[in-house]
This record gives sequence, structure tokens and C-alpha cells, in this order.
Amino acid sequence: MKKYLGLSLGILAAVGGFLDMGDIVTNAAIGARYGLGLAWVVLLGVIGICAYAEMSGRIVAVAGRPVYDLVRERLGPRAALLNLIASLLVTILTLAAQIGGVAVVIELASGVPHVVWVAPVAIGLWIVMWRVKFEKIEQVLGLAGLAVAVFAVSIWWLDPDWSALAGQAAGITPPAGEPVPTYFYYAITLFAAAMTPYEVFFLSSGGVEERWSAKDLRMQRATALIGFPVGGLLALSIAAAAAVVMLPLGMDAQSLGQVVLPVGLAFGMAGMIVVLFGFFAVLVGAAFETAMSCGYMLSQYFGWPWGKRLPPKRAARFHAVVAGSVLIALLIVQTGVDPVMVTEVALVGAAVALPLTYLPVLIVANDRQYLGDHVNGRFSNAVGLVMMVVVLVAAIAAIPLMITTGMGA
Amino acid sequence: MVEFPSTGYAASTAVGRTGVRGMGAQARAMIRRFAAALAAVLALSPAACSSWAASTGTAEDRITATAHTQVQTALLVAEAGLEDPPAPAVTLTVVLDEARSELVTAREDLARLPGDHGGLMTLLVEATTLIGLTQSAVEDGDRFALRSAKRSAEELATALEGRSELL
Repeated sequence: MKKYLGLSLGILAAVGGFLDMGDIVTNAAIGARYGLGLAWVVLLGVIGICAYAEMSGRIVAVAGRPVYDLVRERLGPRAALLNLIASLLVTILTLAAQIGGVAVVIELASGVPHVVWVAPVAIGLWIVMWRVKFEKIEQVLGLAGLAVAVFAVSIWWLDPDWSALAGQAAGITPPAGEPVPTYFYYAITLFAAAMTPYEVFFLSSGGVEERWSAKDLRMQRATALIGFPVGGLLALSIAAAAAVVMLPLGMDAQSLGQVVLPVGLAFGMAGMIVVLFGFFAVLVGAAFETAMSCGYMLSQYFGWPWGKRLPPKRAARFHAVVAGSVLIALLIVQTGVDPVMVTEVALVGAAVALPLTYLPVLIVANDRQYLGDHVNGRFSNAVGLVMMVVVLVAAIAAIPLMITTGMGA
Repeated sequence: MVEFPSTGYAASTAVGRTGVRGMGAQARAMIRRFAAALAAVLALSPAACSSWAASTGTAEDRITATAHTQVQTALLVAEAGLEDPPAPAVTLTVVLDEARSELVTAREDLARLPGDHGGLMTLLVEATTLIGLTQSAVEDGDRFALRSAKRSAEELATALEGRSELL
């Protein structure tokens, strides 16, 4: 019974943990512009993250070491250094976007400008990371993040034209009159939002923190293969809500305030309270994951003692990197830059960095020296290779499309 | 005190020490090259974004689209304020503040454009006024004023749609 409870908690936490600022912003913007016309990208992203999360979890459970550690050992310090620099830059930007997002959510609840909340949010985040146990943070924030499901309920309540929504979701080409480059720019940011690199670093390092072993293979597999797809559905519900309310008006969704309006239309006061609570939990959870990921990456590369379980005396550099990352992110957002803009830049960066993150995972997952009989089977390799091709195309096209479309303007 | 499994933490430490020794001048040169390339991309991208964006109409079209979005936002805010119970006034006020800020930027951008844009500027001023009226109605919980704001938003949105092929 306890085992099943643990599994349920893990899956629910993965559902809530799938979402972050990138998923929220891109799904709302795309829903307002294309309806569910890019639902196929979310599906592709979910397949990709499931495949690589399963590989990463298997690597941790069998080898007992996090993916980044093995990547460095397997590929050597030079190749891993490129991976480290790209991933660290993107993850710090992603962390800044989450902190900015939390501050904006508090602004929406209080009316006090978000720049006032940035420092308290960063300090609060650091205190939580310092004082609260790893599992507790994951479970509480993951479960609270399920409140975002209010978007799905809102769609039902607003009584949309379901056949029109289904028609949009069935399309895989740009709608008439929409520039093709802009369509693919949004497709890439949506894909990058689903496969953000920090998710793999956090998952694999968190697996070591939670001491996964070969006995936990089924549980970690179920967590990834059920939790992420359901999380993807939550992300799609944000797009669908924007499609129902904003697409017919011909407007864009450019801010978190606009994103929550469909819920306000459906459920007034109660809906707004629930959605702001859900966003708060989801974004604090993502901020925790990204900040910890910065510490994991750097510590594992340089071979420093690392882990939230280790007291600061024993892992001083790890804890210093985590705190330093939060400080850098705070300084970025405190300049007054729009957190949505930071999110968009982070997503383009993430798209470029995707191959550097996922190719090594695929290589290590095929290495019998580390995984023995638990190396990738034909199916895992087929899915992994197809997704790698998609990842490469996204990485190559991201910056040219960002430039030619003016960030999807 | 909780210890890590030896296969994890200890191996990580050993690998790290070997790797740090392995990092020499070549690795440092690679970091410098990567940083320089990244800096070049970051420096070029914003400039390029504003000048090569050929896929979404003229500057006036984009300003019109921005104004249209803010007017429709006011419409949705008015509808949310008419819910029973209404959406929180504080949240709706923040949304309208952002809309007003976007409109102010749009007016500044339009003023910098060469040529005569008097018609659009008038609509932008009307949109800003609409945002103010909607905000007052939300704060006062005045349902009559909210309905009036909603009607005004619909008319203004229609007027803006007539000015741009993007809408």
C-alpha cells in the first residue's frame, strides 16, 4: 500500500512538475494565435521528454550515478565542458524566468509591482532550499501545482465548440495567412519548453538524492511515462483555454495576467484564486529545480561533493553555487526586464542546447560498461534517435528563426 | 547524518579530480572561443530582431495589433468583472496596468514613425482612455460602467481591425 502511495505521489508530483514558466507562456501565446494547431508539437515534446527521462532514470537506478557525472567520464572533460557552459547559461536564464514569474503572480494577487517581490522571492526560495527536505519540496509543490488543472475545468465550463478545437488539434500545417517561419519559431519554442535541459539534470541528480536502485526501475519508469504525459495535457489545457477565449478575439497573450483571464471568465473570484495558487506552486517548484540543477551541473563536472542531503560544511561549493545561481537570477530580473521576455530568450537558448544535453544521455544509455543488461532496447533507441533528429533540427533552426521572425512578432 | 551511496558521490569526486587536472590551455581557449561566439550572437540578435522581422507586416500594423490586443484585454477584464462573484479587482487592475503600459509604449513608437498617423493615434488615445474607464469601473464594482466599457471595447476593436490586414 505504501509503495502504491509513493508511486501515486511521484506521478502527481511529476504532473505538477512538468509545467514551468516556459510551458505556461508558450502554450498561452500559441493557443491565442494558433488555437490547438501546434498540439502535435506538445505531443512530440512529451514523447521526447518521456524517452530521455526514462533513459536518465534507468542510468541513475542501475549505475547509481547521475547522468552528468557519467557524461563527463564517458565523453571527457572537453566535450562535457561545452555541455556544461551551454546548459548552465540556459538554466540560469530559466531560473531567472521562474523567479520573475513568481514575482508577477504575487503582483497579480497583491497589486504591488513585481520588481518589489523579486528579492523576497529569491530569499524565500533560498530559505526553502536550505531548510526543507528534498522529497517534501517536490511532493508539496508538485501536488499544489495540480491546481493548474482549473484551466481544463474552465474549458468545459465555457462550453466551447469542441469540433472546432478538435479540427485545430488535427492540423499540422500553419493556418491560412500565418507566416510559415513564425509558425515554426513557435513550434520550436514549444518543443524546447517541453524538453528543457534542466529537467534531465534534475531528474537524474534527484534520483541519486532519493537513492534509486535497480529495484526502483519500474517506479521511476511509471513516474516518467505517466506523469509527463498528464503534465503535457495540463500544458495543452492552457493553450486550449487561450484558444477558446482569445483566438476568436484575434488577440495575443503576452503576459501572465492575460493568461489567467479565461479562468476568471469561467469561475470569477474562486477561479482566479485557484489558478494563481497553482501558478505560484508550479513556478516555485521550477525555480527550485533549476537552482538545484545549477549546483548539480557544476559540482558533478568538477567532482565536488554535492547534494541537498549533504550539510553545507561537507558540500560548501555545491551550496554556494546554488545560492550564487539564485543571486544571479535575482539580479537579472531585478533590472526590470520583462520575465516573459527572459522566458522566450531562455527557450531559444534551450533549443540550441538540446543536443548537447540529450546526445550524451543516448550514448551513455547504450553503454554496457555502465548499464549492463539494462542498456537501451531497439524501441528505446528508435524513439531516442528519431527525437535526436528533431532536437538537431530545432537546435539548428532556433536562432535563424528567432532573427527572421523578430521573436515571433 | 545521511551519507551518499558510495557508487554515487565517491565516484563523482574521483572523476572530477582527474578531469580538473586534465583541463589545460586547450580547454581554456575553447571556453574563450565559445564565450566570444555566444557574445557575438547575443549582441547581434536584438538588433537583428528589430530590423529583419519581415514576416509580420509594417511597423504601423504591429502597433495596431498591439493596441487591438490591449483593447480586447479590457473587454475580457470587463467580462471577468461582471462575473458573480467577480474576479478579484486587484488582479484585474494589474492586468489593466500592463495594458496601459503597452499602449503608452505603442503611442511613443507611433510618434517616432515618419508620416501622418493621426487616425491611428486617435484610436490609441481612445484605447488608453478606455483602459482608465474600465479600471475605475473594476475598482468601484460598477456593473453598469463595466457593461459600457465592454461595448466601447467592442467598437474600438472593430475600428482597429479595419486598419490592419494583420487583424
